[in-house]
Amino acid sequence: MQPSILDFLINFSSVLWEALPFIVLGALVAGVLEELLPQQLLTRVLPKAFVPSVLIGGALGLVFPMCECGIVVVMRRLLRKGLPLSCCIAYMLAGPIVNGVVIFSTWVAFKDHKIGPEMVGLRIGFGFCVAIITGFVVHYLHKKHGNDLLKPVAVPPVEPPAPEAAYEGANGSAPTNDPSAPPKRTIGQRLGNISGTALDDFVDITVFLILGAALAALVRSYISTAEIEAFSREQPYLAIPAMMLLGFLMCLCSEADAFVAASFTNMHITAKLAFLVLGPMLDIKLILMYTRVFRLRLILTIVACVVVLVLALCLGLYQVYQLNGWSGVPPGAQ
Amino acid sequence: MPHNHSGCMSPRDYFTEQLLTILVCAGMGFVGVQMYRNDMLQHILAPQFHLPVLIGSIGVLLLVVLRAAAVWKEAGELQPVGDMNCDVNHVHTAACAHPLPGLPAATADDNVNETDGHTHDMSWVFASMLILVFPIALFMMGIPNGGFSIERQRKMLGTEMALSDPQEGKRLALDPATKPEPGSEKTEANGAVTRVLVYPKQVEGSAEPKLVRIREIKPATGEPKYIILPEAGTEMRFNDLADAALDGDKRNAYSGQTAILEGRFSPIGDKQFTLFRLKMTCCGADAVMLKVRIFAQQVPAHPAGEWVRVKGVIQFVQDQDGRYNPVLSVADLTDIVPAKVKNEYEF
Repeated sequence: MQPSILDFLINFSSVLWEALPFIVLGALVAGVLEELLPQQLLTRVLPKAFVPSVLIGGALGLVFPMCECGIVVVMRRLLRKGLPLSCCIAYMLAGPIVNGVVIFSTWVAFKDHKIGPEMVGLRIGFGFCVAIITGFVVHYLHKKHGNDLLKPVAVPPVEPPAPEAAYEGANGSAPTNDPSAPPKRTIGQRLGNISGTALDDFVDITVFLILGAALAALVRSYISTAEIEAFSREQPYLAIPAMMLLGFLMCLCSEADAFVAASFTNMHITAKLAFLVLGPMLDIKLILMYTRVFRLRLILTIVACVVVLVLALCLGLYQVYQLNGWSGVPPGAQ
Repeated sequence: MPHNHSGCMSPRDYFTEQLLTILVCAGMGFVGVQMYRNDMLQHILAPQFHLPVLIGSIGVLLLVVLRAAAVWKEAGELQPVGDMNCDVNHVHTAACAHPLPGLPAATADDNVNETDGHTHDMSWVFASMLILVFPIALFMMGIPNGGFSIERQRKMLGTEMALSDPQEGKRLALDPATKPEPGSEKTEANGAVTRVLVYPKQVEGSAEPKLVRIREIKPATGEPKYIILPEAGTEMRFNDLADAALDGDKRNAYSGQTAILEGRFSPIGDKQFTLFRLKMTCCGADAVMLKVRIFAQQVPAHPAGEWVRVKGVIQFVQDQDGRYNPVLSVADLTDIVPAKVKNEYEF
């Protein structure tokens, strides 16, 4: 087989098989949530006001670390259970950045460059800001358009769910043999339902993961990081958008992307930051997976918000570096 | 309730979809387990992700077993289709408000107003199953069976400029503290005179200086050449040298040590070549290129991309951008030998 086709297949398989365990985990969590989480419990627990609920969403990753692939599957079911959309968006965008594993890997990647603390602080700060501002924007969008923003599967049931007894009514017998479970459904039925939801979600998301991974691998065959590095050295202002584009095209895990950013040794810190903040929020495979939860209007809003915010924050920081005369490249390298 | 098929998917379509799902997911799970067992994952994933793939695949297989049992039970409970009052094969929509008799009642609690996002259009079901079969088919073809191609790796290397040799050996040899080693003087067949010089290098944290041995070659005509001679040397990683290049203290600590390094060969000029190897953090998609420049008296005639083992003395040399590059200076051609390496990637 042609080497270029093999390279494409290696890239494709890498992205697919790395994400797969996390999709399975996400699907399993989704199945359990769907079956066991009482409807509207989330609405009762979370603060009513949207500002604190968005802030909580933005910081939730510290408590429930989740990577960007698994998060989409879980979000769909949580939305269905009444999680406010703005809070969900904040968690979905910030979660892959604001979490312990990613903080640690970012620090390790830049430790030898002597810019570990700055990189970690700025990445977390920018990631959090972009996520909550997008959350606020989505809140107002949701006020205007309601659940038309969502795919039907993510919309909470319109009417309150039927009382538990109704489940039994048509189903008949099956004696309960698990004292811990509510008496209405047997553990066997519950497992059947969990596996059903989990497999359905697994198939649904994996199909789009495969399409996304294939598209990303195809794009990867035509770009090389060496070209982007050379290009952005000549055009420092274009380095930031160029690295954002690279983050979108490369489809990397947020645990690994810091090492790739670190390999662009002589690039300005703001360009690396743009890559590290945008990549976990938007990339080819994520956009395809988003289509299983959100409708086009919401996806476009998220994309616009994230791109504009990341660009503005990074360009602003670049100005700060220029005005103070800081070099913005690892001190040891020069 | 898991899949709100409470609408009008005919039982035939419903069970076709369920059976296909079970079959394809079982296939995916099986492939995952096999790829772990055959160590095919080493070509695409870093070692810490091998176990999650195995666990995830077993998880899928468990879900499949549970699902298969549930579907088996549902099929047993299915009533004859005759009393259905909707057309067979019509697509499930929010408008169709008739629960399907015979399908498990667990689905009947679903509000008929809610659709579940994927239209259960059978053509979509078949299309998505076809997409899911793709990775299974790749496994059957034995892919992935290797790392990235040499063409791609050399593209990742980018265009490489020759570095100017700072001639560390010459600097040390001309230092007044350098003394010739007795009895080392020889005359070669071509008339050149060689001898070994010894330079006492002060090492931090040790009272005794480290003796750096330098070979001096005085040709019959022209300038003499000075080459630092390697010691026994230790196997090193590309990662260590690449990290050290970024840090002044580490550069000082590594300089002058002898390193043994295995990597792929890429010639640059007649006296320099690059040794390169990919570094993988999590998966093949995040692979980055690690490279070490080799200075030699003469570049051996290996084909580009071949694995070689090199022994040389470490130094760090600035390129035209002011960036430090790790360099190994090789004294003799015998210090460059072909090598066999098990894995494409350094982790």
